[in-house]
Amino acid sequence: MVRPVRPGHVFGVLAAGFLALVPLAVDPYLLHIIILILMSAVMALSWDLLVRTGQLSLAHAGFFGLGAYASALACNLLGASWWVSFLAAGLVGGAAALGLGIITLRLHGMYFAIATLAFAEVLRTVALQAKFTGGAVGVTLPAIFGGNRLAAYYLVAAIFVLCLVVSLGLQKSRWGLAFQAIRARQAVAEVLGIDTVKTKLAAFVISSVFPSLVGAFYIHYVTYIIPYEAFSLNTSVSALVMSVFGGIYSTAGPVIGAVVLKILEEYLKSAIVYGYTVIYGLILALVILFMPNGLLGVIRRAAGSGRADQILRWVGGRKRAGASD
Amino acid sequence: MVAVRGQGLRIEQGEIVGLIGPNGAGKTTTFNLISGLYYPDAGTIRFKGVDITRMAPHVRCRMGIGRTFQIIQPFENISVLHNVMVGAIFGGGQSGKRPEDIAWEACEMVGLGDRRHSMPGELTAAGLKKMELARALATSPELLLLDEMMEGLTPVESAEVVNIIKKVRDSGTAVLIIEHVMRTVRDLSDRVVVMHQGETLAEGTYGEVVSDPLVIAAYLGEEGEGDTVDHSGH
Repeated sequence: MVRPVRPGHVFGVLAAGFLALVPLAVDPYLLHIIILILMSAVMALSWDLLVRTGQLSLAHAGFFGLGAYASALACNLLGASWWVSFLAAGLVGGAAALGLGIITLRLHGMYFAIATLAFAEVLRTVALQAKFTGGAVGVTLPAIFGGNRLAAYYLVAAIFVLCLVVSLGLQKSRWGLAFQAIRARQAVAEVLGIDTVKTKLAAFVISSVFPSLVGAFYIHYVTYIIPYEAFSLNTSVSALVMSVFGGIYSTAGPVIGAVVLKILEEYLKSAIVYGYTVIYGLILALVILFMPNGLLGVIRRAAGSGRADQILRWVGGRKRAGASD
Repeated sequence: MVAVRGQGLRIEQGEIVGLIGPNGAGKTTTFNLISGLYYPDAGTIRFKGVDITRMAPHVRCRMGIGRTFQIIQPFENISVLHNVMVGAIFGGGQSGKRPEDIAWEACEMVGLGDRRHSMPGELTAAGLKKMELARALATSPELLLLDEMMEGLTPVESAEVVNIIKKVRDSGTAVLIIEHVMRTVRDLSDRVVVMHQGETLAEGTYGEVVSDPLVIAAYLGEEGEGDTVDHSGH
């Protein structure tokens, strides 16, 4: 029997081929930009994983910094190899999310956002004051893979693909349905048998492991980090902005948002050296004002009920198509 | 045997109990206590002989307590079948059956079989009420709490829902209904419990309670609105 070829599969193969081959065709500067884009995409997409349960977190910077410091200290103090330090970063990030989640996930909306914001601020203070973190000077590491940028690219691409697979898997699974139900009407979800506390906790842990990995990658790639950069509110906000810009509650949206905004940012930086942030901010404000569902919403509307829409639906998964019977 | 105790309220397997009472009598609060959305300060709630007073709502659902809400609460972004599947997947369901099949059967039972691929926004008010009933049924409840199912339905639609609820009862499920339409209470209830100011005022058959002087006095307290309609929330 011949298995039907679904548009999603074609899209997946093309995307995988692109990710594997594109670094071989670009100059080192462009490769650096692509690495930044992939890091941003993981930050945005993993942030979206939690917002699907209706919880808006500002802790992403905290987990990013925590991952960076955990892996750097694992290397410097314990002599760990790079991959062990990445593992440590993921574990520390996940464990911290579990603890933070147990305390804060009963809060909703603004209250949860503020609690998670405080988490990153506390961590920054700790990094600044503690003896073993290097204080305001921060920490340094030798460049990963001896500064081989191509190898670094494949590492961050692997983290990106892992995040993509987790996101798509969650959307197609029972968890995805539970996320939607909790986000839409928590009390109804509860009386229909969904363990909302456990589900949100799981989403928070999964969502937090990825920024920790990106943080670990960042310190290994850039070779140094200081507390103000590691735990910057800007990191949390940009993950949020890229997701909203592209379209939240989806896999494609945050990725599209990260790609477009990162390219825009880099272009504006080189085109308008002074005050590029003003133009950047203006474009952001306009998009969010006039495209409440993000770029993905615009694409979906334009595509109507055509084939392009089916592909997007498979990639994005916001509207579950039909049923499986 | 299915039983809920609290305020002296008790329900047996395969019986429909009508819960009536004036505004603010505590009917919906009783539902919230039984389904676990509220915890009582005192007293115990027992289900099948087990003390569930401090159990979380999702645990109670999996034990066999299903409910609907007075104000319809659909998951707007997913199809009717997926709405019902939420109950089938997470609510315990029947072992060995695919959630899709349980959900489909529940849709069939309430007469939404051919609308299962619709989005909730495409359904009528009656259709949405039926979807919420199917969603609760998909959790395979042994005790079903129905809060104002008939509100906003035409007499024909009400009659249809009355028949569905009777079918549910005949399958062995205990059903507790809150209703303001007295004709529905009369047609459906094997037994009626009248609540007033958070307490059980009277209990018996429909005929017995409506002729009870205490009940009449309680309802006369809000005379002018009539005894069949109550638009305010709880």
